[in-house]
Amino acid sequence: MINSVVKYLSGELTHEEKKFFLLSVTDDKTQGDDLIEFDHLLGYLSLMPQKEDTIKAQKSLLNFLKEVDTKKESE
Amino acid sequence: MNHNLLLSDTPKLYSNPNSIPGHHHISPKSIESTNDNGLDFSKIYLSFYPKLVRFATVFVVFEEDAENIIQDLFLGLWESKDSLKNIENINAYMYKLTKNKCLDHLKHKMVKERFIVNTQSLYEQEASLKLHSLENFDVELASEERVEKIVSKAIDKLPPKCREIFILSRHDGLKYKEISDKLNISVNTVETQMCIALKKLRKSVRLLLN
Repeated sequence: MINSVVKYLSGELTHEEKKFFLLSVTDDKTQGDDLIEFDHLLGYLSLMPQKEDTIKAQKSLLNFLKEVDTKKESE
Repeated sequence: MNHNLLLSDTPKLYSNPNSIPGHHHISPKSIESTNDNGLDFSKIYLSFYPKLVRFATVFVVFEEDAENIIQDLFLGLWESKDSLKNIENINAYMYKLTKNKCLDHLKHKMVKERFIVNTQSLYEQEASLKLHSLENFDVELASEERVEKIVSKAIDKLPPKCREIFILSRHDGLKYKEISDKLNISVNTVETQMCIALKKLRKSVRLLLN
């Protein structure tokens, strides 16, 4: 069953498989708990720095400041 | 205008924002108005933006939604940036804000979905599970520095092939088929290795956090 949880979290389930999986998770507490635990694990993993972070953040910040300027000008 | 002030913590290659491709015409007004508090805002943005988007994506499912949520969060911070200096634990503050924004988003989308579909859709089922999961996610714990070290150590301890597959999937966002093509292995092997990786990580993180 853990394989289905991992496949679901990796976006590898087909639409039908996903439908079946979500139903079974709702009915089966153990599987539901597994899903939450893996979800939380991915939450922790997402906070790890990655190599493109700096560049992504710089580009995004500059776009953000540009939008703030545009908003100020229109006010 | 002092771009170096704004991006003082970034690699030399990008110490001038105009050297970033596609960003030659950034209006300088906001940068000019960057005072001490503004500098703090930029540092916070640079340090938190990518990981908060990743974190939000885990719970709101769609990356585009996650990006909008985090942009909105920063817009709110920008509007009250003068009070940033009063925040004692910026890590905990940012994760808590993100969690609350994601919870609001999920609740809102579930109501909207119910209104449109008039029956429980696949998305609503998924959102309901994510909502439950996020409500139980301990952001205080996530904001502790030791968690980053614990997770990093757990990833380092994975067997080499397993770690490579895990990174290609979670870090580079490749689908199992793409990984199998890239490494010339079967999709089944990728699937098995991903299960091994996540089970091992769960075990290590569980042990280390308790």
